[in-house]
Amino acid sequence: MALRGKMIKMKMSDGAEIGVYQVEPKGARRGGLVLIQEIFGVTEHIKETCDKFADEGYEVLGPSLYDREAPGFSVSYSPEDIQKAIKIARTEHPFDLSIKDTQTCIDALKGKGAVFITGFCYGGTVTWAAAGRCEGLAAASGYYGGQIAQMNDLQPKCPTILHFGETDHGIPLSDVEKIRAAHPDVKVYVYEGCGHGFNSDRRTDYNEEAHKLGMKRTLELFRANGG
Amino acid sequence: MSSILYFEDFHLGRTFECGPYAVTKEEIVEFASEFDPQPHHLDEEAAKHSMLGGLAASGWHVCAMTMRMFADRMIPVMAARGGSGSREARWVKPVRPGDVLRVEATVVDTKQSRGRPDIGHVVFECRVYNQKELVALVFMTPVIATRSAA
Amino acid sequence: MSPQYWEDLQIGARRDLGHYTFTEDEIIRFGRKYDPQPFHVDPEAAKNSIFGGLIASGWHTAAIWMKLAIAERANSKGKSPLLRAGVSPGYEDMRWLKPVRPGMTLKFSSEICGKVELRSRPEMGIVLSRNEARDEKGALVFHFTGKGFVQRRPKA
Repeated sequence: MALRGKMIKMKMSDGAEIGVYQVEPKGARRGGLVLIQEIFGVTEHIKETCDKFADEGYEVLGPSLYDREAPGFSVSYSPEDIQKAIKIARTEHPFDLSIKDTQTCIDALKGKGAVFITGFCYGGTVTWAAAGRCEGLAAASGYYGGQIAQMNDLQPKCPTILHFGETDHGIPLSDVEKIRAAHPDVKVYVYEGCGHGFNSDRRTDYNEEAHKLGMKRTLELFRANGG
Repeated sequence: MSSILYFEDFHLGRTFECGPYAVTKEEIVEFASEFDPQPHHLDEEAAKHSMLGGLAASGWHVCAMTMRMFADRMIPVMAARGGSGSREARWVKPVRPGDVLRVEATVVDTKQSRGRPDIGHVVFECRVYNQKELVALVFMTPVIATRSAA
Repeated sequence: MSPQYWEDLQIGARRDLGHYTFTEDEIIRFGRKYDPQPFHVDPEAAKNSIFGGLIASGWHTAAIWMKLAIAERANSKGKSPLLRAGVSPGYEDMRWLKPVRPGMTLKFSSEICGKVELRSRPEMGIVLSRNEARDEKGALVFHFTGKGFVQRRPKA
């Protein structure tokens, strides 16, 4: 299926221009959505996911967060590319910049309806951090963010749900419990038999059932909060 | 009764239990560093993003550990003269640090050597199980066995 | 340069993986850890065996093939990278045809011999390779058919 959106250039708060995948909503606009990438960049899979949310009535912006360090960064799952992506995430790209760029995207969607955020893996962590640190979000839905447990004292400013795979080798259930214990108001969903990356149909861990359930829960959250 | 098993003793379906073998992260990384230095066998973070979803042993390492378990069980009791290869192998599930492996080696075929009357080929199917009784690896290996002196 | 996807695989494409010389020490070290049959670990016992001397475990030879295959991949910058996932579902038809003795130098290679579509996984395909080791005289010592996952071209 052909992608419906297009890459545009947006100026960020530090003056740099980055690429953003933008899709118009199908039918009546229910709200705006900032969709945050995995460490692999704005890949085909991320663009298709943006399209899926646009099909549900959201105007979606998917910022290419590593554009300053590696313009147009979008890589495969080969070991070499995974290493490249990890290097950028770990050593080159300041996490704060991702939060600032997220705020810029939120601001671009304001004034036309509620603004939401979702993200996967690296994007799941950004989603969590944005829920606590950004202004103007109506609700947040974060998937398997690896560093969320390390940001446990963050207080989300909007209704937030989190999704984790039961057998995610990078995020032990003890970490998930820590998050649950510290945030009784945050619904933390654990998907049985799922590993890391279960929402991505490009990965060996893809789980169709879990993907559908996560999507249903995310859309219900958005509908309940003005979307 | 001799405790050594000769070609004739390996009837179809006879199964030998081998193992256990405790898999450690150190050994996974050591083998991979030397023979299969790919990030998903060396580094937890990279492995998380890979098809394996987390640090796992090289498939070749799993074969090597299986051979060790098989050898420990069979060398003392089998009049063997080595193997000639390994037929199809399937790496079914990742083998992770902390896994404990065991092997069930079952005789699936035996063949008298045509050219050499003193030996035959015994084909074992080796099924490697982890501690959750899930199959990690299956392969077939023919072993040369001497016939008992009549 | 653009990467190569499963669709770009050329049957017959060949990689020369280079040479490797097996030493007595490492044959014994591998044998002791993973294949302790007498002719892989004990030069004296090996002399009295049908092999007439110490020989490398077939699994050691296979591991060396893998070692060289990864090294060749890491060193082929400048060539279009084939998007292998670095993960394999298995192999077929591995044969250890001739003994590998200490001091022997083997030449290793890999040639693409097939590709398999996966209905269960639309984003990956399988590449089949005929993988070999030959001795100094060019005689075939070891071979197997390898399988690897390769990423498929994304739909536009």
